[in-house]
Amino acid sequence: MKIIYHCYGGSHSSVTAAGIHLGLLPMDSIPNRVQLEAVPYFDEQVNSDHGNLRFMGIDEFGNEIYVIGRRNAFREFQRLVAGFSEALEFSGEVCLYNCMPYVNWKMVLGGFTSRRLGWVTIGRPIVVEGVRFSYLKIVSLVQNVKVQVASNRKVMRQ
Amino acid sequence: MKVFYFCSTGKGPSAIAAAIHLEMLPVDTIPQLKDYGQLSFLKKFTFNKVGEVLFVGRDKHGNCVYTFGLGREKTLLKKAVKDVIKVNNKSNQCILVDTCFADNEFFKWGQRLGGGLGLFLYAKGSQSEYLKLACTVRHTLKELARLVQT
Repeated sequence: MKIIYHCYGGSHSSVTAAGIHLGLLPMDSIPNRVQLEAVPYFDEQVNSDHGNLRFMGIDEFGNEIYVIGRRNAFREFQRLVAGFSEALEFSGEVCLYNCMPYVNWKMVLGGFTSRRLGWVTIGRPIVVEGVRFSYLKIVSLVQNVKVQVASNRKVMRQ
Repeated sequence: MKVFYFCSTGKGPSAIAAAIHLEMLPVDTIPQLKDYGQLSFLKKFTFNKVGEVLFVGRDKHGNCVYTFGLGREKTLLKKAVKDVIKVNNKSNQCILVDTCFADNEFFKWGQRLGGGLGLFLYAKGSQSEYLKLACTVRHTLKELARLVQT
């Protein structure tokens, strides 16, 4: 199965969720700046990278984890994936998870400053603070995803 | 093989290209207004949203023909769709054909207004880009034949 975490830029919330899912970030504590920066693609993607599916790794159940920045085209992206999975017969193979509900104003401000304006020195500490603030909510999303994926697998086996 | 024509709405130039592909419209001459009125599938697509993949029909070789729209974020969604197809190892089972070059104001207003005036504008928009669209379809058919041979 392919699990795709998506958000506006594919740089912060989705990358953090993918990092937690893959065990690169802890589930029981809030990571520091160094730990967050060590996750691949964290605060790295620029405008031209939006729309590119980034492979993050394979989880303990063999699921492939991806992230993508889809700007504000959430509904269109969702419909396209659903349509193509039906037309090309890979329904149930791709799961999309929206990370935007966990984005707070610090992440928006820091993300804009770091990614759009390129002022990394100013933007990154703000975005890190924002991610740390929403971290436990993102952990709960990942936990739900894992439970959902595991139950799907169980149903498929039966 | 599956052929996906796309434009900004999935109901404009991509639908015309799909109709040419399926021989509902001629490939070498520009059709008249009444010919557009006979495209029954256009009525079915009226309420479809941007991003929905719409099945138009099967061609004489059994290939399925679809259309879809990308909305405002064309470049981004085009990349995303290609990547999703690639990671699922389906790249060799489909062809994506860009018809965004033929999007124009007549198409846009034709779809928005609907009815007789809408159809007139839609036909006007299609007629101005028709030969380019027919050329794109011819290329697609050649590409399809080449892929089927290999």
